[in-house]
Amino acid sequence: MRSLLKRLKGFVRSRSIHVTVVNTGGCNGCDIEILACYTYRYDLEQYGIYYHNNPRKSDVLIVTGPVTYQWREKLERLYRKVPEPKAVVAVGACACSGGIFNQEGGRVCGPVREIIPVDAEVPGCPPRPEEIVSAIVEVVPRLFRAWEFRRGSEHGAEAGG
Amino acid sequence: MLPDYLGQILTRKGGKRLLDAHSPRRILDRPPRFRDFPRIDLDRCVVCGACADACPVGEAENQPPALEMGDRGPVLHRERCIRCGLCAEVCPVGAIEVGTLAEEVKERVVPSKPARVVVDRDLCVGCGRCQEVCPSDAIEVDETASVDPERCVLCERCIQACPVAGAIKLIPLDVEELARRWTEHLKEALRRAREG
Amino acid sequence: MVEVHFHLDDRLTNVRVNLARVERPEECVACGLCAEVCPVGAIEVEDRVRLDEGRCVGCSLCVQACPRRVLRYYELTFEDSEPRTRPVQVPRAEPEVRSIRVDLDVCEECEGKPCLEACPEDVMRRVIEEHVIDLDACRGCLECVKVCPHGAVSIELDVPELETRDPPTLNRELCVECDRCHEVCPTGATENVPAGSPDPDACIGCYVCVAHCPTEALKRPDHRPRPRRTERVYFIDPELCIGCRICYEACPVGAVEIEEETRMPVITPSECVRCGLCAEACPTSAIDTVPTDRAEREVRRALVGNAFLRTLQELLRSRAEREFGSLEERERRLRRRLERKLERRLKREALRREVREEVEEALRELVLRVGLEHGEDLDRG
Repeated sequence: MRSLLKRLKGFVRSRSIHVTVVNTGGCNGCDIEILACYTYRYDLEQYGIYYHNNPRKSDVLIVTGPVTYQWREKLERLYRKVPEPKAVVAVGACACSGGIFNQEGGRVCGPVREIIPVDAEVPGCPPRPEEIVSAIVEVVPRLFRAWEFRRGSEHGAEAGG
Repeated sequence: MLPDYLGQILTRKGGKRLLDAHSPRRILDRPPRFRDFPRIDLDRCVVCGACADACPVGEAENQPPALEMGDRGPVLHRERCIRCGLCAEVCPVGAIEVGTLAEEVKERVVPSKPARVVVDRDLCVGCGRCQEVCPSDAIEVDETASVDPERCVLCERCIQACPVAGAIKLIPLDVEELARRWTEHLKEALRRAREG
Repeated sequence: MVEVHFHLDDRLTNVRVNLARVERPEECVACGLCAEVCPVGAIEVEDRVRLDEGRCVGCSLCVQACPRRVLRYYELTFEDSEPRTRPVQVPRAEPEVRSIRVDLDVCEECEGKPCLEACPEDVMRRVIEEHVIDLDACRGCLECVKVCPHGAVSIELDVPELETRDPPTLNRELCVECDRCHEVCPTGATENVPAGSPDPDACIGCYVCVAHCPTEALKRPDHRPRPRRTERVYFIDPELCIGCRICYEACPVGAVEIEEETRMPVITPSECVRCGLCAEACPTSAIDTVPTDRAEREVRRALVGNAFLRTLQELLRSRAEREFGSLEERERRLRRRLERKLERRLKREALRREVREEVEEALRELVLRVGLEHGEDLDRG
């Protein structure tokens, strides 16, 4: 019974995902491509993924940009504000590896995954909208569907609370 | 209100919409001329390292460069690559393809020459006169001369300078035309010889 | 777009075309051997040989086979784009006689019997008078057939052994696979071009494919580099030449030869490819270009001069021998004396060296000892 409930919770969560887009100092190219995901051609909302831009109410944090020094602490704070269950998708070469800014002479805090845990990375400079769509649609619902079970194994008795 | 909503779902349009969401996903076709990640053909690679030199994404403390030279050719790190296409543009053998850019790059990097200059090793005496006059340093003289077809600009100065008849040859791409012209020329010469 | 030039005149300079010609048609006795050996059917024999020059590939087989030397072999070259024809020697095949037939009834009525005069081996006399046919003695010159006024003599000849030249060599780098050689080859020996060189078993050495190859991928085995322009040629000025032979080493085609008598280098104008390596290497700038005809004249003159010198030398030598006895004997004696002298001198030299080394050794020891003692003094001080 409890397992069924968990599955139901997971199902519901995976059908309604709210995202927040954070640009941590990139060139805006990735943001424009994310914007293109919500246009008629790709229409991310048809999968039940909504652009919300309020971290306290979102499930997914889409991070673009190489994380500048100014953004470092703010990104951590932003991540803490997103309620569980949450997922982070790093979009673009900058978010994945620091991109062209992360080489000799550049001053960035490196890839996003060194600052906050990242669930999916989409390489490309910028990535195509369909790459972003497939990353979010393939990875994130699966993550949320399994969330309750994963938490159960991690926290034992507290599960299902 | 609820009946309205249900009614909407139960119409054909509503049902279709319901089913469309979460319908099996297919990745949309890439638009033409889209620059994808470079595809590296290691069989054609000559391991010259020009692509790694041209790559704008250099090495960082914790990150490799986007294109790193391995033993067998360049290794691509996708998370670093910015898909600028410079590697494909500098590749001398056209071993790197970046989407449909490949065709254009081939046109520009390896323009098809209407002919090639070939040294006849049987006749070349290795005097080095061709090397002296070559404006693009395409000729190396060892025992005999040899022409680098990529550097050759078909100025024919070597042919003018060569003291030996036929030691440097210009072989046009249009072989049929060459064969036809030569046959005619030979026939004409023989006819003249017979009359004279 | 770069304009492509076809350097056809350059290519023509390297062309050598062979052809057979009917030189002495009156000598032909219509034996038909030439038509039999011709691989392209360019020869027809009725009462006389008729050669279709348009179809002839110049393989020289008919010239070799002809027992009467009716045909002659020529080489056509295009130096400076001007056609030039010169005769070429080919080995003549020994005819092999199969049968000799004489119509003796007609022969008896013949009065002069010119065949008896004409036959160099006395074969006809034995046939007519003794009725003996000696096939081995007959050399197959067919002179009897030629002179017989009644046409009573007929001699059949076997097809002799003929020499075919080596097949052309293929340079695969140059082959453009135009298949012209396949089209012109009379025997299909070039079928495996460009995979390999022409088939040596099928090739008859006519070199038609060589002439028709637009890129000279096929070459005669004896092909040598030829100059593009022949109006000027390098020439060694004998006044300036010091005989160091650096040019002899530098020449890539072996056109510089060392003269037997004078031991001086001479450039053969017909061999020189005008590359100028000798002129660059010459330490005294003795080599420069001169008009070819002048160089040829000079070289010929030098050759004549050398021949004269050689004759003079021999003359002097024989004269001297007559006067003073054998020169070789004198030379040997002189050499022995010199050797003995040298030996003595070497012995003396060795002794001197020995003494010197001993003295040096002693001195070195002395210096060492003095130095050591002195050093110890210093240490104490």
